[in-house]
Amino acid sequence: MKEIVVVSGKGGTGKTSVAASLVVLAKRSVVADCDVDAADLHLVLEPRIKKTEDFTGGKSASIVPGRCSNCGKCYEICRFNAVIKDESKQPAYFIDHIACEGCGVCSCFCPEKAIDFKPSVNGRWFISDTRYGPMVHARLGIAQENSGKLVSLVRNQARMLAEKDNLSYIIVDGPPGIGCPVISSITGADAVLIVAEPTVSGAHDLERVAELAGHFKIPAFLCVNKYDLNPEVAENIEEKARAGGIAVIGRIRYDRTVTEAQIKGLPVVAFPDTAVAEDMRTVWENLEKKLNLNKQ
Amino acid sequence: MAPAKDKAAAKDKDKAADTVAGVVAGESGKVKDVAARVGVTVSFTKYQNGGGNVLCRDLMGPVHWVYPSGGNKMTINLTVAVASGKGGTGKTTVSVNLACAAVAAGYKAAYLDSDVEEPNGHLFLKPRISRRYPVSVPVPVIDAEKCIACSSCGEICQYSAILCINKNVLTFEKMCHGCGGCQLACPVAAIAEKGRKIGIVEEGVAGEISFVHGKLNIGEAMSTPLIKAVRSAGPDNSLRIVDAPPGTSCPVITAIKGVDFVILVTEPTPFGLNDLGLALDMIKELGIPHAVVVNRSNPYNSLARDFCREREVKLLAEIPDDRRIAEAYSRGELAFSAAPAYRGVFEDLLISIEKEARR
Ligand code: SF4
Ligand code: SF4
Ligand code: SF4
Ligand code: SF4
Repeated sequence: MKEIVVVSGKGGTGKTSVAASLVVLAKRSVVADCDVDAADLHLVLEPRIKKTEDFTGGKSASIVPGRCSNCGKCYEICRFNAVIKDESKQPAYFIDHIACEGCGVCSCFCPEKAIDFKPSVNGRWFISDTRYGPMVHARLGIAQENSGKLVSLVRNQARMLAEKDNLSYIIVDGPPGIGCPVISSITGADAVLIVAEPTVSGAHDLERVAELAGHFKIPAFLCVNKYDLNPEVAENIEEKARAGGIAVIGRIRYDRTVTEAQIKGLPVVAFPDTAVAEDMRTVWENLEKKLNLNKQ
Repeated sequence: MAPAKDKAAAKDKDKAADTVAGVVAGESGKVKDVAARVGVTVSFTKYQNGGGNVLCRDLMGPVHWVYPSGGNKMTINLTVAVASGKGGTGKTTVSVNLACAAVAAGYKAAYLDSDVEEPNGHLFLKPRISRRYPVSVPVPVIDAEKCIACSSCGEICQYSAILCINKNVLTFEKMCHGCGGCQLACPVAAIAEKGRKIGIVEEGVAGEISFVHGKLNIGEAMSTPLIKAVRSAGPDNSLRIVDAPPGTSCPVITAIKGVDFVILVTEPTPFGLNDLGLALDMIKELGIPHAVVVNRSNPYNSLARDFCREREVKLLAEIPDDRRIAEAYSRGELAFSAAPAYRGVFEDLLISIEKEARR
């Protein structure tokens, strides 16, 4: 079984459209949407939810008014400015749940034991069926933290499903950026597929994701999406990638079919006669070849 | 045009050139010489308020960059964040061009790139960096001599960043959130703190725009302290434009908390609008005044307009889906200069934001 994570550095490069097409092309696969704070994959895979669970990622603090003696200790020791002081209120202290990091320090040192510190529900995750196989996805709660933990959970569930059904691939739609959720998405994966766009920003972001993949020693592959918007920059990006030991496995052209497919709620390869679908197939074939070479 | 008028216009231009050149080169009049030496040509346009535009071109090639220059500075004190649920919708395009429009309109403006994972604004504004400093988070350091191996530190830590095993205390710095709990919990004051670097902040100027951005170290998971550092840099009493990271979780929230106004940039696609919906939920939770800007808009696609009506959110501007803007972007050029026809879009947007934010 191989786990392939589709990432992009910069968002909006067509990562999700590529991931959705890979899911269809990979056949015996399970798909995991790890872009947990802006998930889109469900819009083109039409999952039927079979199981929904709460996600408890961390704890959060709250002051029990009746017990607080207004000593101000919590206000003084919270390093995240999450304890707010408002003298017009009784008690004068309360906790800003959005700012709270869940470190528990206030609760531990409150002389009156007036601060509850309890696990909080940070989101939900789902196991679904799609036409193309099982899917694990999630939704981080509004203004919640711990996206990294939720990503790990989604990946673990996908792995369990793949093992149980003896599926050959896990296709992961990764989050944008290079921070906490991306690190959680790629550590220990078999391959990272970077979808870049031919812009100077795209080139800049590619360097940073590529470095990240290198940092965690994960084989990385590149495909430039909408390459014909600026073939010169596209080439430039591919050169840079090759120099950094990243294999270039295809190019995808700019095609309005991608947006139309999105509007119809379908992956692009559901329109098999289009040129862009052909590009996607080439990307997948090359990727599959490379992955199976690595195995030997 | 009559020759007298021609002359007057030339004189005008020269005057504007002087003002603007003073800003760019620091030495009035010398900018053209400097430019010739580095292989660019410079031209100037003048605004009514006494400000102008410096247009730098490669000798052969396309427009290289434009540094607008305002005349008499008007006072403003406003922080506006530009955010979007989905990445790649054009946050940076809107932010940098808005900063240009602000300066051209005579405001003091600052551009703060808080997308520290993938900062891109500098590719368009091409700032001169004058100050660079690291940002660190506090992590514990154990004095083994003093430690009595009581395990209190490990018990209070919520992030498994400190552990006491076999009479030894181990720290895992990358997991540490710097809450200071272990230090407070240690009964024998065996824990001190040191800084662990997570990235750098760079400050400078791009023409008259004050420029700040943060760069997160590769492999670093902790981005919020760096975002806070970017937010607190830059001049007060100006129009501060915060280019926020994508998404709806901690990094964005850190970037937009406490700003006066948020612009949500979206594109008229199902993905774009789904993520806009999530971003709206987040902003309502934070209670910040906000409005939407649609990028890559076209008259025949009403998805975004319908969405805004349904969710009862104000649509401030639509930036047309024009290949010229996309191509300028792909080359790292400002739409404000490369596609001057669209300058008005950003100027109008600026006026609308001001109006909305002052309500
Ligand atoms: S430390 Fe406890 S008692 Fe003191 S102000 Fe905070 S909640 Fe109230
Ligand atoms: S749990 Fe930590 S972050 Fe939250 S309020 Fe208490 S001290 Fe502050
Ligand atoms: S400072 Fe806080 S997070 Fe860091 S090791 Fe100590 S208790 Fe853990
Ligand atoms: S709390 Fe202090 S004394 Fe106790 S194990 Fe930790 S460092 Fe050592």
